[in-house]
Amino acid sequence: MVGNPNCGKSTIFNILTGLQQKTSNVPGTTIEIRNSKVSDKLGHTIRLYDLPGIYSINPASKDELIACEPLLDPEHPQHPDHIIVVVDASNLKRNLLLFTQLADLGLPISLVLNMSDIAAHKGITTDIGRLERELGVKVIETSARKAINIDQLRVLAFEEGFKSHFHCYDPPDLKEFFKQSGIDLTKYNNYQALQIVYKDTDIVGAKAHQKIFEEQRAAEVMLRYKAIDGLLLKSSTKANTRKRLSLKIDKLATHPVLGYMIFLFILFVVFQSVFRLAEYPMGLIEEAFGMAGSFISDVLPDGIFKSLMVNGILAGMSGVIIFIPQIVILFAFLAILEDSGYMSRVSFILDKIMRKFGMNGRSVLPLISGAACAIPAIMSTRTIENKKDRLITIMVTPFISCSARLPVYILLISIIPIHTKIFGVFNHQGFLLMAMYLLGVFTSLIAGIVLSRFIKSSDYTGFFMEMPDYQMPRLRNIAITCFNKAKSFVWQAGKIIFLVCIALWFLTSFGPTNKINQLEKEVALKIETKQLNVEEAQLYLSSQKQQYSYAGYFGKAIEPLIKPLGFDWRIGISLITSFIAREVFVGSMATIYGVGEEDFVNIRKKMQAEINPVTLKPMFSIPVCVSLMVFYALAMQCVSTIAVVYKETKSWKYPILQFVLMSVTAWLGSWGTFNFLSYWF
Amino acid sequence: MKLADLKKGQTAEIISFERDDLKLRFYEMGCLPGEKVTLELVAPLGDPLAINISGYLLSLRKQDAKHIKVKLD
Repeated sequence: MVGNPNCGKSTIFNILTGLQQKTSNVPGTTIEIRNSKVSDKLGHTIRLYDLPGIYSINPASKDELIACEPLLDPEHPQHPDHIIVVVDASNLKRNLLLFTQLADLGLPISLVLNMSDIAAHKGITTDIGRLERELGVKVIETSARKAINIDQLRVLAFEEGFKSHFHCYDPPDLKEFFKQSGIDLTKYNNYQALQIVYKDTDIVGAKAHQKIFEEQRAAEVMLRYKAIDGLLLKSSTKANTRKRLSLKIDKLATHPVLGYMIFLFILFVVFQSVFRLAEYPMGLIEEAFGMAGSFISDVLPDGIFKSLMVNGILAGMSGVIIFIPQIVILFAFLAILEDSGYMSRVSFILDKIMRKFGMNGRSVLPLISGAACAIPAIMSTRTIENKKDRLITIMVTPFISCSARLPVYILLISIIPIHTKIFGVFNHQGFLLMAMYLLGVFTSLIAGIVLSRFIKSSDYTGFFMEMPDYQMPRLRNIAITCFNKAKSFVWQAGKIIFLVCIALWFLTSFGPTNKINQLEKEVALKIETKQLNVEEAQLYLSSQKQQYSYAGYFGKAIEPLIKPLGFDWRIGISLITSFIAREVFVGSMATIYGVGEEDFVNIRKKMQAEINPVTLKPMFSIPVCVSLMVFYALAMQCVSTIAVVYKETKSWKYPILQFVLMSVTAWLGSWGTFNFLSYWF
Repeated sequence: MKLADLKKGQTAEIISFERDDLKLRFYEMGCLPGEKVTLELVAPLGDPLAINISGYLLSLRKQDAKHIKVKLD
């Protein structure tokens, strides 16, 4: 299935395939091609591929070039036996351009006039019989949204299709020319041969050649449109107006004041939902894993295996599943906004502002979703068509303070020794919390400006965006989108998160020396001699274990690196364990100070009482607390984000670059904060 | 006159494109010489613009619209 963006192709694909679809990534690109087995009543099976929406087979980007490959290359394993071209019946002229190009490739082809209800509403009538005769292929009219003629479409998918006799462009005969250069193009038709020559020039050709070919392609498009005009004159009526309701909504949605207010309101609803609605299922997931953990603890004998099951495997699984509620909720909203046509209006009213920061209008929603969680936010950048803008959005989104940083901020703000009010009136807590969130926003915008200088886009082909008429979103479509997003997260990013959780379990449970074994024996002795009760002994043991584990040694090893920021090895350990998820900081601090994980009051007391052995002042002084918060605000301390950036960019280059850039920024930010504040306090 | 100079609601005919590297993209989106375009929406900050071309709404940036020569109806 091939077609323009916004022609309703994905809806058709969803109807035909349901939940059994698979997504495969085109190697080396971020383009996903969905495919699914489809069977008919007679037991025939075909595999249906849903190519990403394109306006023509002339690639607008390198990614599109590769996505078109199965169509252009007859040797390609996914070269179709039958192309179903889906077009928007209310905008036939532009949609048919792609059809005429595909027809010239000489493949069996069929035409689906989708959105026929909207066309009828606009007063456009098309003579299907005439169109079939002119094109020489099967044409059907459907409306995926209203489920009209879907059965006919299902039957069509199993047919073999016809080669179209509608030719509006006479390609040059290159075969003879290239034969002299020893290149054999005889197995291709003239138009296929031309595409192969174009493609090779796009990749390796000289600039001069590219320019000539660009001209040729433009002339070709012009010829095609002329032929389409002639075709439509015979077979269809024209309407140059848009839906009246769309005109009215657009007046509001792009209004200088109301437009932004509507957007802010929608944003508020989305953000609140991702933040608050997700809390309940997340709580349930945590509870379920907690119960499973205690069940396994009771059943299994003490030892490595139990520890691996509970702290490694179960923790790893919950670390993946915990993100699903937020992903599903955010994508439900995004699908509604996208499906209804509103998303392109967001882009329209915010494009100019975001351009200043190296992004575009579509970057706003991912950035703001980042305040709930960077994982779904980064996954949602797929709506950004421009590759460079999308990459920058992915790179800067993790700077926005996510909900996992909140417990860290709250703990640190609660122990910070400030006793005066800011400006005499304001509570320092609210002020500091807001400052942390603002720091994230500013850093991400500045990072956007900086990155846009370095990430060069070689293929600026203008910024064109179709703004489709408004439509009622379809529940089924939204449900399938959410399901697929959650599935792809679990299978692609989930694997990495799971493995890293197990690695971290290993690092925190085992040490390079026999010290842990010794400690266990010592503690057992102390319990026997009643020096300690069991609970105290457990807390003491886990605190000591953390110190003598690999993670503990690692924390000590990085101490010289974090000393300039005011941190000691204990904070170092917490920084490392925070990689599972930032909120682990709180639990990690609790373990180090030998108090129960839920015991927020005692963690605070112990941390406040901690004395710095050198200065003999409280360890968690104002400079240290603020410096630590700045570090958490700016550092990339999240395995899941790294995994998701890898999934979305299909390269380790970007997550590694991001990790390095964010770590350096965090270190410099913390260092500056610590030294500045140390001077004053 | 350039497409970027149109006032909201004005209709004009496309004459030519001044940037060769964008010409193909314009053509593919249906913006051909001889076509009628109506400037339908202007974003609150004056950029981008949205034009009605053969019945659909296309948004483009001012910097690109500056390269499209048009003639008022």
